Amino acid sequence: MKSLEEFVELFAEQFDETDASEITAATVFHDLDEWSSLIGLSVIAMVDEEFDVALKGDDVKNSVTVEDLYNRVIAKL
Amino acid sequence: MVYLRLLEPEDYEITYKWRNNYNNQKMTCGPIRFISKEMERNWAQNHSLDNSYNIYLAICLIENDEMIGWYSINNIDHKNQKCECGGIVIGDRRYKDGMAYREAGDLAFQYIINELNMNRVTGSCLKEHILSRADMEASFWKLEGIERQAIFKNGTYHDICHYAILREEYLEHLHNGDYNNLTLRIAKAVKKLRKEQYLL
Repeated sequence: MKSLEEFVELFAEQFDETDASEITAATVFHDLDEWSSLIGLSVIAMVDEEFDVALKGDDVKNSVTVEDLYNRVIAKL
Repeated sequence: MVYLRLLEPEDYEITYKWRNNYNNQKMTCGPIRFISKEMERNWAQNHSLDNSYNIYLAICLIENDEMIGWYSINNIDHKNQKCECGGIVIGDRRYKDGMAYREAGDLAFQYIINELNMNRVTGSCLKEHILSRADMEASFWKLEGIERQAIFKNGTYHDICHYAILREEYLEHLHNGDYNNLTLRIAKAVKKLRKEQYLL
């Protein structure tokens, strides 16, 4: 199982313009300038590929921080 | 989460703000123009009176009726039973997470198929509009052609992709359950198209 740190790194890779150093487990990702439906869907694809977990849109919508989202992924394993 | 209604004349105040937001306009197939409030007022007024050939729908939240975007169905041809999905704009940044976009798109498509009784539905977008292309490709729309250097925007020419789906194709995929887990299908298509774009 991937750690929270690895998840944060994979999460940050979905952004084109946001520096990875700006993204931590505590980041409120909806507030990031680059956050968009495109990034959200890329995160869903990443989770499917790396964790074999099918996130729903509501999982992303209702998570506040990157760690919240990680916990939702882990709960679905 | 959302419902659709016909645009009302007073909606111009909010569409005016979205229309003059570059981020909302940069990925459309139309040119970027400065719009005055008077022009926007006339636009909303005109479209609030037409539900036959071009239908402009406000996307509103069920919980409080707040308008968060709009959707247009254009060039409705009742003889040949075809129309164009002219575009979808989620103007309110808080709802730019793809969910309202998907839900509004589904509602509009159901209306197009089940109420307007359209047989052929088309949609066009800039080649670099990944979300729009992923949505159509994941929903089994077929790419019928690419119009090269069709529009000049932001100092360069852009290609436009033209997609279409027939009623029989939609119903077959629906019958087969191919639209189950559509969000994940779109997500995978997004990833593929982003990778392709990155490699260009």
